[in-house]
Amino acid sequence: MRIEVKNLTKKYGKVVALDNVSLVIEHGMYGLLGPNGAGKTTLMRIMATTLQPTEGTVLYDDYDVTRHQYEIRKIIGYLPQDFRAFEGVRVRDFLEYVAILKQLPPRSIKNAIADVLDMTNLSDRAKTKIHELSGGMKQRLGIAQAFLGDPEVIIVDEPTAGLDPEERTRFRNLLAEISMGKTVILSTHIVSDIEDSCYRLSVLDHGKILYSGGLQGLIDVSAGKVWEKTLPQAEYERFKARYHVLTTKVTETGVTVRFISDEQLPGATAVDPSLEYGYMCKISQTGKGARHNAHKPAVSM
Amino acid sequence: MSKLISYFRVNRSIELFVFPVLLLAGTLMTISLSDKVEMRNMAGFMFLLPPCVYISAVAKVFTLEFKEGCWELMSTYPEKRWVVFCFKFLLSALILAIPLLASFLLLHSRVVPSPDLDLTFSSLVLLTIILACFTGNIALLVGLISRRYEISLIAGIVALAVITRIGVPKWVEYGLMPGVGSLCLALSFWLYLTLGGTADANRG
Repeated sequence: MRIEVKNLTKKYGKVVALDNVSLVIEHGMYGLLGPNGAGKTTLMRIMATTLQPTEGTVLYDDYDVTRHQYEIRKIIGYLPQDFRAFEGVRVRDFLEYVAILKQLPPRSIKNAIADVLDMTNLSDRAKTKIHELSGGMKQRLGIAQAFLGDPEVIIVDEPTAGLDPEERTRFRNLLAEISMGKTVILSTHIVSDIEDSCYRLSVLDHGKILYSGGLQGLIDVSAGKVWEKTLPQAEYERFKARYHVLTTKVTETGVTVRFISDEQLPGATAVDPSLEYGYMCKISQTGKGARHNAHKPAVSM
Repeated sequence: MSKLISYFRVNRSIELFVFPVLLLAGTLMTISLSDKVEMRNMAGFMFLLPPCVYISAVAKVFTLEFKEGCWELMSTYPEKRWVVFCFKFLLSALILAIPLLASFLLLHSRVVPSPDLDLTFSSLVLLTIILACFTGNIALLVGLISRRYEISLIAGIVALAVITRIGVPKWVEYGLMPGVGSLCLALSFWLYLTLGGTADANRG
């Protein structure tokens, strides 16, 4: 399945949530990374056919989201950012209802439910009411409903938000395991979610695509741009106003900062490139990062 | 049939029975506090129970996705909206059928006489169905507009209270009420088919 986002624009009144976005997604797990408010959820909703674009379209092979919603809904599984199910309903009853709405053949429903419950390790919770499940279990139920009917494309929007680190790791592993042979689009603002499970990604901010490609390409973006320097505490505020500071650590000798700069400052040492720093370099070009202006000429501190 | 059972399993809830049970409690209290047991109170209850159950059912069944916050997810499934609407309506109608039959059986067998109701049995049946459809379909339309269970329920109760407290002429009972009820149902059907998958204001 080849998914092509073509010149997609979405406006809410005068606010432009997506601005002429184009990208191509092929087989495997694809990450969509961006800060809150970048337009990720809008893009996911358009891809999941719950929102109509203002301009442009998304193509699933030959199916167009603006004209073939019914056909597309038959081949996708969607886990929204704020997944909720009918609280007072039992897990199996909920999945049976979803199976009916997904138009699964009546004879296959029982087996299909057993498969997804097994896949998400919820078999022993089949008769539990949904409000009795933990946050992690509810997210697994979300994945179970998305995978019900074995769809070709899975769209998951911020699936690990609100989970503790252990549940987050378990969830990422689960997603990676069950996504084999499918196209999975994972939207998140958490870099490690992408780092551990995807091999291609796009970075989205202020409704625009800032980067599309492999993980290594984004890692390389931070090479020679992220530095570490220790400053006297009195100079910290002035430094922060000039440079995009990524991390700050107060030590006995002053304040150790990691920051973005095109040039090496006196006393600064290069930091090893990483996906997170590559991402921060990219988004520093817009929004909050732009206000700090990473490209100002270096000043002696 | 299995589809209908599945719809019922998802929609069954204590809320379906709260309003009718409150009505029953009110009626029993009125009867018990009366110096003289007036059977017309019980007859009135039998007359009002079906509309109450129907209002309660449509308010619950048609606002469930909005109440539980999963309308966006439900909108991504391929089942046609008109099919979902028909199943929900059928489920509400079946829930209505139970008190309707019970009331008619009791009234017909004269276990509960209705001396103050100047109606033949067949016209009482017809009027009960008209009243249920009128008030229930108002609740349905308001529920889909407001996307709120509580507002839908209140709209139905208010419509029922108003129509039973004022004396309405026959042309209203047999002409205007079925007309308005049908119009509300038609508008609800159209609205359900055209409801957006998500609120545009929610951006990410």
